[in-house]
Amino acid sequence: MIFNSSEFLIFLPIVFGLYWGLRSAGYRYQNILLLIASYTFYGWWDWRFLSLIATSTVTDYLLGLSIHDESNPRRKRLFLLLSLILNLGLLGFFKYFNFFVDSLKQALLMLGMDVNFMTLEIILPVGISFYTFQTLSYSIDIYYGKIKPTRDFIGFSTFVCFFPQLVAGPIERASNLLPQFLKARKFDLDQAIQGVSLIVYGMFKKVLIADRLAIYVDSVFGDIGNANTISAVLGIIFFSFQIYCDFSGYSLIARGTAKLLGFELMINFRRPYLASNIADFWRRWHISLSTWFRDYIYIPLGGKRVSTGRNYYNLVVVFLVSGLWHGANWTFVIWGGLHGIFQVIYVSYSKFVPFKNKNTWWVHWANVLLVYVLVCFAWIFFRAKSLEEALAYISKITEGNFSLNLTQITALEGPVNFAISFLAIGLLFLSYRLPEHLNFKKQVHHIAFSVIALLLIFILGVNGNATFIYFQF
Amino acid sequence: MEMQPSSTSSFSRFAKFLGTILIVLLSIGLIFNYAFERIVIFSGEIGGAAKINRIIKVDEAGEIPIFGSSRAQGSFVPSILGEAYFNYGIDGTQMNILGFFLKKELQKDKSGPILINFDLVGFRSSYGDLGNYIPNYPETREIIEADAKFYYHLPLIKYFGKYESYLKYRLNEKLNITKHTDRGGSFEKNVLTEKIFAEMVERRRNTADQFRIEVPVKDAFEKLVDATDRPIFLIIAPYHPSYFHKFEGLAQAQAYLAQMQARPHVQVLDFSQEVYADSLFTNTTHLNYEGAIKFTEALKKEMHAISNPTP
Repeated sequence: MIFNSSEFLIFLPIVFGLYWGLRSAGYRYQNILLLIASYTFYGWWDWRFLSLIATSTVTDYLLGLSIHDESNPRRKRLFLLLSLILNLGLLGFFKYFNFFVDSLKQALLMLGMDVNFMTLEIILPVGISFYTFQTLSYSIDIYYGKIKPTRDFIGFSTFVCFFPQLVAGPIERASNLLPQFLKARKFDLDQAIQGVSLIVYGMFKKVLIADRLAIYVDSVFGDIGNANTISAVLGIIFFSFQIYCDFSGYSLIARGTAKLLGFELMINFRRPYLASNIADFWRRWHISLSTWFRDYIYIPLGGKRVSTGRNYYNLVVVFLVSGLWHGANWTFVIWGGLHGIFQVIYVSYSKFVPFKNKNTWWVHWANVLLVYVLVCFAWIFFRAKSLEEALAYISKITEGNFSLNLTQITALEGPVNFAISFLAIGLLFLSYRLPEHLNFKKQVHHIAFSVIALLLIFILGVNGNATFIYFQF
Repeated sequence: MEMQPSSTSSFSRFAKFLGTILIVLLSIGLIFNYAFERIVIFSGEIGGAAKINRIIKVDEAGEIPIFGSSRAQGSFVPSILGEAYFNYGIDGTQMNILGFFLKKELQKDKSGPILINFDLVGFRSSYGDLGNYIPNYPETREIIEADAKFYYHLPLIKYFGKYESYLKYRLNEKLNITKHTDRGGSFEKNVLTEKIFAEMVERRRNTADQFRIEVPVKDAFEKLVDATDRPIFLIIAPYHPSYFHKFEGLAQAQAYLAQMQARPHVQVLDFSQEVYADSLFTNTTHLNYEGAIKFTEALKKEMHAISNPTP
């Protein structure tokens, strides 16, 4: 089930009604309902993969207890290792098996060995990268004594598969989300109202902006040969906003839905294209994943408390892994690698030219623009289906064909779509004038916002039920 | 905002909050839809919905209609043929919708000719964009059948995803930037680059198509044709030569047209094999504006010759 579907429009009010109807019965019953609802939500897509979530849930629950209860450090480490092997093993098999086999085959072919390896017809279970990282952090945090395991199996199961954030995050830490399942929730009117506004804003970003820009982007990337410099540049600018609004829209709907049920999820995006340096960008983009990599890979590798060279190495490794997390394709690895290199350049540059707090406004905006250009360049690899496609796209940008052919500039999608695409981006920036996280002071402001946003969605939105980009990761 | 206790009153206040949004939205939606329908949808002439509205509600005694798909819409320039002509062609539709238009036309008390663009793909069913039938008149409900959604009756939501296409038609009509509008006809003004067109030709050469008959659609069409003695011109607008590279059943199509020609009030005018320059096409099955002008002028000459035979 996806958020922007008619099924979800029916599903959510039913869950909401039943959930709060059970408030007098106690939070454990509410958890059971959420568990059933979450499995239904996921099973709507493919019920067979529920077994993967169930396996991950049971083993991490038991291993979490074992890690905590075990006093022998070696056995403790062994239990952690088991958790890592199981979680990463499932992820590796479903997401990376064919990729590694194909890559090995290509590498051997380059050495003159034509070996025929078996590849499998594997469907990638939606959200596996997200819930795997969530359960992994649970085991790791218990191992390092940051949290204590829960003995409430239902509470833990619901934490693993909580439907608002199950398939595309935010990747919650047990320390934030799990305790919320283990205590009574009160219906808070302000929280629920803010939840509605967040859901509407998420839909606005997804249906009005991301899906609109997708029309142009798909057309340009679908027929790169017919693009010219202008349409190729616009294509990647539009993609930068498409992916941002698609993913941050999902996160907003997830947060809003959770709020309706009395939960608080972490903020995943903070206006990333306003970042004035590349490190700042990663403090604003997919925050739950960035902090996950920081806490569980970058810092254990030594972070920046190591030699300069080692620190650079750590940065590149983290971003390469981040790239691979996004997808089993070399294009994602290059995307991650580029960001790693950008980080290294930025860190080195900062050492020679210390950051000045009193930057003039134009220096600030020049930095914002520079970061945006770099991010967009990397997005080409993220969006392209292959390295060849990415290089063909770059060559289109650099060929210097500025012909004003309307068919090319509008990517065969017509001037109205073209104009609405710009309007959509304009509306995004206009929405930045609203209080951050839609913390309106008055209820009437929430009503006005929801009405205007819904009107715009119905009038300018794309009725396509398009799936969210991050589902594929 | 002040914190509220978790009580029944909180839920009722939340329900009130949602209800307010819904009522305001529906009220604005009603007003907006009313204005949009009058200013954009039905005041235009090239949109499918406007054409359906026109065939059902407008009865101009002298009007000579041109029916068909997008090939009709983009190939026949009414003003060249004469003041009485109106182009009812709708993008994406097939013979079943043409049958609908013909049926509505024949219900009118008229005696003038009817022009029908006949596509060589034969008798197939497709109603094209649902936007052509929204709001769904009782008369069009049977066309879209199962695809009619409940929300087509809800203000604002019923046009969700369609506002743009209605607006596009209206803007094309008003501004004539990329298209030229002429009494229901809508003609592509942009000329494709040679490279893009060459790629289209290559794709077409590798795409199979065929003449096919869905018997109920054919029967319904013939029944309507036989039920009138009004002159009917079955016209086949030009195709790019690459269209025939993998086309099957051309002989059957021609045999069928010959069979229609045998009817005393039916005249078949076949321009399908006429060779037009690449620059006159917008793709391999549709002419651009220049191509449409050339074709319509040739058609006019031909029709004139038929109406005024030389002794």
